Amino acid sequence: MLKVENLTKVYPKFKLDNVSFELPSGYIMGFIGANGAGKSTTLKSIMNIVCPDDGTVEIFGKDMKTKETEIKQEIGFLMGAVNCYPLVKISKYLDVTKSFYDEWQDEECEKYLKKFDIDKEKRIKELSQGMKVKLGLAVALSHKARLFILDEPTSGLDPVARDEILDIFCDLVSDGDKSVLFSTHITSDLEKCADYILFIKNGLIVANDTKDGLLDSYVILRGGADEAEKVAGRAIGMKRNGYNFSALIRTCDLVDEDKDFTTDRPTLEDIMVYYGRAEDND
Amino acid sequence: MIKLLKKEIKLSYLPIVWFFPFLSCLLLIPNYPYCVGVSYGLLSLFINFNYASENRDLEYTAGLPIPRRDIVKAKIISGAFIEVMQIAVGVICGLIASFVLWGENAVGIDANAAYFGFVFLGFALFNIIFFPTYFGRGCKTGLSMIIATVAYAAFVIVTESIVGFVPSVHKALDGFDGNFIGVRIAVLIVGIVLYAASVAGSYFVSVGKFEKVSL
Repeated sequence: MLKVENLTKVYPKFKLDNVSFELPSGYIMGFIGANGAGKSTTLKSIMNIVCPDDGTVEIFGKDMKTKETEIKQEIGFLMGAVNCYPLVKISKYLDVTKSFYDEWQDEECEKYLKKFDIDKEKRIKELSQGMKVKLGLAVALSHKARLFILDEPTSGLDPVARDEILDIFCDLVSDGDKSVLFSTHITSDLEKCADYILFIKNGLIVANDTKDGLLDSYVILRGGADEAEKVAGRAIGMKRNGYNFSALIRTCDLVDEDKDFTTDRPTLEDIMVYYGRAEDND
Repeated sequence: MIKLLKKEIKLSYLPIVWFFPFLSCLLLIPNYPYCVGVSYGLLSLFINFNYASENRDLEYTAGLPIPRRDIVKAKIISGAFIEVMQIAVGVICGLIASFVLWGENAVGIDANAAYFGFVFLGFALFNIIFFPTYFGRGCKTGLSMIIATVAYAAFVIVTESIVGFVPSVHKALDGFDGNFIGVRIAVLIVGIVLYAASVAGSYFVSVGKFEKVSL
């Protein structure tokens, strides 16, 4: 469904470095990484909003560069909350937006507006940040899209609303011909619904695996502070104080001596945090 | 394209844009420098484009299933529409001021065919600088507006000076002397043609730049 190969974008102080990944039909891929890691740049490059210096993006088997308009008809795209045209009434915003989509479904849009409790007669500025995200989602879900590219779709939402939206994502992919790629900082959301995890750090993809595959490929070791040096060379990231340490290491880097340490299965958040720690350790 | 133009009017236009053309009514003031009234069209264009930027117009438009060149086309057409509205009201007011109310203007060129030819030429110069700079900089209005306005102002000063102080040009282009009506109409036609060319030209140059811009 989505195939990204060697996507590269060079800025004076940042480089999106040969990003490659694939998302098959019927799956949800969570895109994680720290602030400024390159998540939004990647998503914008896929959508041709940022012009990549190199690389290709293929969606539905078509080249994004040459078939952009055709492809975008079938993409539900959300770049955070709807923060444009604050003084415009939602009804007017939707009226204009729907005119661009060949397969716009008024009933679907009404269904989601009702579900999200959005009053069309309000102006966009009258919505809370969370409601603005929901408005963007309602639009993305109302034109028979097959691929959903969503940047921080759950940010600013309360836990109930987040859960509701994650259920919508799961329903979307249940028929097997739609896929969702979404970035988030809230890794617990991904643990609930993601099939694949894409992890970016400083513009470089450091992990691209199934969620379980990714969680299985790392382990957290805990031990006394005096033993930290035994794993320091293999640790991706390490936390230590005067008494003990904990370190994230790759499962494949485990050695027999590690049996002496306490081991834990990391969460996605642990993986992000320890990768972040790697820089501190350096 | 029609959809995008509707979007420009419904979402991107600042409501005050419909008021600005009436500032061309300044031409009805006796002995007023006529170049001022129509120039408000460019201020209107700036305010409008700036308003669109502040409202994250591009962020919205870039996600829509439309080619980038159409974004450029719609913006330039909407900008040209603002300019032409300003000139259209200016023509009506100029005719009323010249033939019904006051006759000849003591300050600067009269509102005759040549004057409107110069207005079109000035706007053409503005367009060919403003739009490519604006799109080349990812739809940022500040610098684009400054450069284009300086060029426009220089053009107005030079043309007003030449028409005002060079006797032969003054005789031919200022006033309503029937002997030179052909020259004045020629200036108008050249102005209209070059204005149309500036709209088309700035579109082609802007598209080339905008296709490479990361938004």
